[in-house]
Amino acid sequence: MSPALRLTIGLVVPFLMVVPTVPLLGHLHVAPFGVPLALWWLFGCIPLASLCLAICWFAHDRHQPDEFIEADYDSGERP
Amino acid sequence: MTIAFLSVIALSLVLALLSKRGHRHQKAEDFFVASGQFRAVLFFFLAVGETYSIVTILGYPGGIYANGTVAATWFLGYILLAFVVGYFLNPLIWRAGRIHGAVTLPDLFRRHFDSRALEIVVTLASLVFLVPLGMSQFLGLQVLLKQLDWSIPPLMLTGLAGALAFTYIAISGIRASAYVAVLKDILLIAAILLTGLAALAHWGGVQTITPAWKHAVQPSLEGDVFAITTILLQSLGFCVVPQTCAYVFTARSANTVRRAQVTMPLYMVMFPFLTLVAYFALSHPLPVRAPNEVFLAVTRALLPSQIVGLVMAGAALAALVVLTGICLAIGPLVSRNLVPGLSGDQQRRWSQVVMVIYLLLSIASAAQSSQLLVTINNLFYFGISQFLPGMIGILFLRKAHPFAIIAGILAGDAVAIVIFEFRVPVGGTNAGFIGLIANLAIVLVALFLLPSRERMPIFARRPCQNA
Repeated sequence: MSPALRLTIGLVVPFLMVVPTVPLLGHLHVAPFGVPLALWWLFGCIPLASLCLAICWFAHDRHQPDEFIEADYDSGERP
Repeated sequence: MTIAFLSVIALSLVLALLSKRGHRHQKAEDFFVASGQFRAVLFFFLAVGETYSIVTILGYPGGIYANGTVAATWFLGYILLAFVVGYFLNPLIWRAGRIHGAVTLPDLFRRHFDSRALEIVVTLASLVFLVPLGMSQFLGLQVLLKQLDWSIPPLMLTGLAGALAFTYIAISGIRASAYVAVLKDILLIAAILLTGLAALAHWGGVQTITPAWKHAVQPSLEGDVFAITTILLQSLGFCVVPQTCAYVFTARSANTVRRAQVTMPLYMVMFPFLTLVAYFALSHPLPVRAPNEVFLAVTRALLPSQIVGLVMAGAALAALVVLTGICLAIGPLVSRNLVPGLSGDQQRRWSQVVMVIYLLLSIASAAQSSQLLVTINNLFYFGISQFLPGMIGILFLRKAHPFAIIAGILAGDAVAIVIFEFRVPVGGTNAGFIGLIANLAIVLVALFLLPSRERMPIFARRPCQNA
């Protein structure tokens, strides 16, 4: 998976699922079981967001070498 | 109810004591950030434990009960996107923390920009905006402990809760917080699922849901603008919350952070059930005196007494774990950043003094205030989110100027507070978001106007791979 695709799936898609979509759905006076459609959609976004991150992890980040850095808590690295 | 409640509290103390095993002589960095040794599971529980406080369990259904679902959409939206942003930014913040040997957020700013002035500004702003957060936990505890019907004055009850939070910290710092968070996270999700399912079982027909829908605030353009700007501000700002940075620094590696972030949204399964509880309260006759009491009123009406005790203990632990997180963030802000040059042992000792003062101040302010819990949450993000441009400077920019970051933080805070306090009409835009735009503009303009030494951004540093 390319880094651009990783950012699209992991960041852009979840933001698009929430930021313009939820307010737009809020204007529809549809409320299955009394709960507004926007809220139902947000509940659906919970597993979808996790799925987007899982795709990034399994298709890209898991195959990158992990980082282990020893920290010097007394002084740190001077800039 | 009391027996179940006290048994859980006793169990939490046992867990805190167990967390000390193998770490009897803790250095300051072990006390505050567990020397960066937590693996994915413990890191997940600590992160979730410090994300969902008593504000979630009481404030979310209370917000729906008082104002309809508009508040619910931005509350859910920002938490969900905060995990998404965290997947990408938190591993970089972790890397910055390790490279600079940071225990606190101001450590990062000072060591990256070599600026003591910036460290002091970030420290003072953190302290000012963390105070209402502690107050909100005690406000929630007041509501909760009142339901236990003990004949003890409320101030003494919150005082005991404060003492308990301090005891966890005194035992083994963030390790105790993480161990208690495991119990809290399991109990909290069980409590919410149980209450939600009980509400569903007692509903008695679909037609009774209609009044809830009528009660809700109708969507408007101003409401949409508020929801969008609040979601953007708080989801981005979540990464620079001082206690978020503190728990990110506890992770063993960058992939530990990523693995935990993937699963974090799934814990949000609690929200459909909390919504169910709020709708149940709206459409059934229950003795609800204030919106923040909605969840407990439904629990008491539907569940047996001993189960209610367990639910209340889960909610109480939610407040206590978050309080320990705030205390562990605030203590070193003073003993490490405001008063530099103290030894590790002195940092620990002075931090504990600061924590006691902070807990007492929060208890006193909670006794004076009765603001809606969700409003306090908003105020907190106004101020804390102003660290974001500085964090972008650390992670991605080569020539960010420390004085521009200071000016940005001060201007952002001032703009947000003026708009909020004087109710300046801004078409529903979140005051903190406008402050953040002003702040970002200052930092970016200074990139071109102020000459600054070039610094390698964290994003561009090749990490060591010496596993």
